[in-house]
Parts: sequence; C-alpha cells; structure tokens
Amino acid sequence: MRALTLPFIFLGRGILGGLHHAGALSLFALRGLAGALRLPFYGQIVISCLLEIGFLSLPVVALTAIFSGAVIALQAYTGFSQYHAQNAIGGIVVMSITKELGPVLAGLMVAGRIGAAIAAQIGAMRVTDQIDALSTLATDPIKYLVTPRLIAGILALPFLVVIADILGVAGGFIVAVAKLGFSPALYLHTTYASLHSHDVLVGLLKAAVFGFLIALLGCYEGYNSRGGAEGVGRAATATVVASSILILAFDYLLTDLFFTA
Amino acid sequence: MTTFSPSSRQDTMTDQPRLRIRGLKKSFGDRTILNGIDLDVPAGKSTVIIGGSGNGKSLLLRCILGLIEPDEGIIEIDGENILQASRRRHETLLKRIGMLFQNAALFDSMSVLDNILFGLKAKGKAARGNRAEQEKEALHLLSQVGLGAHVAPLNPAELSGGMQKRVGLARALAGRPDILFFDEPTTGLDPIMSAVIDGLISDCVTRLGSTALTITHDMTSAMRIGDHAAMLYGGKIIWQGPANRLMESGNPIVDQFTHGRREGPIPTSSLTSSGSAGS
Repeated sequence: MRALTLPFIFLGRGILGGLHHAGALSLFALRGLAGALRLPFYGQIVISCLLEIGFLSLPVVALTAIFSGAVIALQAYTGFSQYHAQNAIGGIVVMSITKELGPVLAGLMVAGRIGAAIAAQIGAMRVTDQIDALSTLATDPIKYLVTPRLIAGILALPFLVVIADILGVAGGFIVAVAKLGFSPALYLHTTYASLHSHDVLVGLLKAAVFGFLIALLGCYEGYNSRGGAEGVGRAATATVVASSILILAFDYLLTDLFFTA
Repeated sequence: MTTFSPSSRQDTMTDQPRLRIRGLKKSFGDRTILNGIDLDVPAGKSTVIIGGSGNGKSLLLRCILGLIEPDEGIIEIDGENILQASRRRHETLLKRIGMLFQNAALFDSMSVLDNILFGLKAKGKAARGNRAEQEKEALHLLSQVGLGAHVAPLNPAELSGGMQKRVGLARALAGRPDILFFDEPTTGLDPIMSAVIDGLISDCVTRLGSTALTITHDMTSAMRIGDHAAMLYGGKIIWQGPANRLMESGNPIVDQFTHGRREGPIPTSSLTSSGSAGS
C-alpha cells in the first residue's frame, strides 16, 4: 500500500513546495518593488547596478547579437534560395532579432553573467551576517539591496536589447553583403520594410520583464542562501537555471499575448 | 589607549531594566531552542550571557534585535514591547542600538571609512552636508577604538581579525547608542587582542554610560567585562547574578560550565551539538 501511495506523496510534496516557493518569490518581489515607493532612494546604488548590468554586459551581448544576426542571414539564405526567396533574408533577420533573438539572447547572457553575480554577492552578504548588520543599522536590507537591482534590471535590459537589435541586423547585413553578394541598398530596403515599431516595442517590453526576472531571482536566491560558501554556490547555480527557464517561459507567454491576438 | 569621551547621560541609576525579556520561546520544527527566557538587563551596566554552543545564545540576541521573530514572549526596551512596535517605530528603536557581530560583519564592498560613515548615516548622526566633517567624525570613532587614520582607506579584507572587530565596534558606536550588543566578541582572537576588545567594551559602559549585553563562552572575557551574568542552558536562563559570583554560583550546571569540567550534570554531547539556531 505504501509503495502505491509513495509517488502521490512525492508529487503532493513537490506541488506544495513549488507553490510555497512561488508565493515566497511573489511576496519578495512585492517587497522589493514597494521599496521604490518609500524614502530614502538609493540612487547611487541604482546607477552602480545599471553600470554593472547594462554597461559591463555590453561586450557579451554585442558579440552574441552580431553572430546571431550573421547565422540567421546564412541559414535563411541556404533555405530560402531553394524557393528563390533569398531577397527576404533582410526581413527575416530584422524580424527574428527584434521579436525574439535580441531580447531572449540578451536575457540569457545577462542571466549567466549578472544573475549569478547578484546571487553570489547577496548570498555572501547573507552568510557573513552583513545583511543582519544592515538591519541592526536601521536599514531595510530589501530596500537597500533588492530594490536598486530590480530597478536597474528593468531599465538596463531594454537598453542592451536596443544595442543587440542594431548589432544583430548589422551582423546579418555584413554576411549578406560581404559573403552572399547582396546589394547593400536592397538589403537595407528589405530590412526597413520589415521593421515594425510594434515588434521593437514588444521586444523591449520582453527585455524589461527578463531584466526584472533575472534581478529578482538573483536577489531572492542570494537573500535566502544558507550554509556558507556551498550555499552561495547553490544560490548562483539556481539563479542561472531558474532565470533561464523563466525567460523562455515568459517569452512564450508574451509572444502569445502580443503576437497571436 | 582608549579615549572614549565621557558620557553626559544620567540614566544609569534608574531601577527599571533597560531590557526586559519575559517568557521568550522559539522553536524550529519540533526542536525548541528557547523555552521561556526571563531576563532583566539593567541600564548602564554590562550583562554577560554564558552558555555552551548550540544553546541558543545567538538566537536570543537575534530575537532581541528583531532579526528572528520569536514564537511567544515579551521583549521590552525601556518598558516598550518591541515585538508589537510598528516597522517605523522599530527602525527608530534600532537607531538606539549598536551591535558587534561575531565576525564583525563589515561591508566588504566598502572601505573601513565608508563602513563607519554608513553607521553614522544610518543612525542619522552624520554631520550634515559636509563630507569632510563626516569623515572627521568617523576618524574620531576609529581613534576611540585605537585605530589610526591609516586604516580608513583599507578594505576590511586587508585587516586582521582583531582590527576588523575594532572597526566593527567603531561602526556599532556610531551615533552613540544607548544599548550595545556583542556576539562572541573575543572568539578567534589571541589573548592580548581579547583583552583589548574586552577593555573597549568595558569603556563603552563606564565612559559612554551605555548598557551592554554580551554573549560569550569565554569565561575570562565574561569575568572581565560583566557586571551581571546569566547562564543559558536547556532553553532557559538557569542562573543570573553578579558576575563576580559566576565561579562560585552554587549551581552545579553553572559550576561545571565555568570551571570547564567534563563530569557533571551537563552531558558533553549537548555542548558539541550546534544546530541552525546558532550558538
């Protein structure tokens, strides 16, 4: 009998654990966002986080975008030339980059680079009592540590995606013109014709959501880390895994919401 | 060495305890760590709580500081139950408190100077506007704990354990708090540095007029800094009295602990177990 009920026990515990986690994460997010509505405002920390998340992530996001645009152009040419539709690749590149690849790849790169760093930084503060020290110094640790990172995540990712969009299209352009022999004017014309402000804006909205998720998960895992260096490592790993999955899940939800209606 | 400014406070002779704890309980799952703590900490005196590792000393301190919510009980500062205080009121009360953590808990992303400036700003006691005035105030605090201006620009990681504790004490003293808490202040320090830290703690009480609550299992330190002492065992305060009576309390549990005897009512396994509750 026990053997029969065991799977259900594990399933039930898993569901309850998942719900508990989701609830705790939601409350944590609310507390973090509510911090922005109360004084004092830690503007200097927001700027420092913007530099860390936005400016210092530029190289990795830029390189990813350029190569992604180049690969799409190459693949599109290979496939579309079978149907004599190779002139459409400028449009394919710009739509793929602005709608999907710009925000998703930038999100995944930042999740790996910044999500883990946030979790490690806050986790180290937790296990060395620095977060408790903040509390005893009459400073709300959520407001001081989490709120600035959430704001910076929401603001920095759209900025990175604008750069990624431009460089992704540029990557496609370089391959199309230099390798595939396209006319620069024709390529730019098809690109411009397929560039829609709605696509770009939804891409930027996606980026803001991804930035929020990355910062939130990094802060949450770091804030709740336990068990010394090993716990900090676990928090960093959990942040990268969870934020990568959530980026792809939210990408689907937002695409469904804005592009299939 | 220490040059604390004399206190102008006149509240050290009042009868009401600065800190009063009644029936404090805290459990984790089915493991009860604090099982009805009753404790009075007199104003302007140094009280020491001793007890073995895993007996909940740090947990008690964290409950008092509001870092962990107890299951039941009362914690009063000057007659006000802080467990029922609003968040804003709690923040105001925290501005009257200074805390030295076991590992100093300095912010490692800031210099020594910025750590102390943070304490001053957080307590709302930093000189307004002028950065130079604020730095002067921070350097004065550093000098009070026997450290020169040359350590101000250093990173906490560049300091020895004893120096980190001194910087932690300087940060705790920022804003001249009424109540100071010390969590194992001499753990991990050599005997000379332990004596230095103990001297600084004593000076905080005698010269600044602060009320101090220290948790420790270092008996030398407890005897040196304590006016009053209490022993935490089995989740309760089993003895409290003048610190100079610690070594001859007449309580077999306290006697075994203070004299460091293996044989006695305390099973040695209870001194080596340490759970999530801390020491």
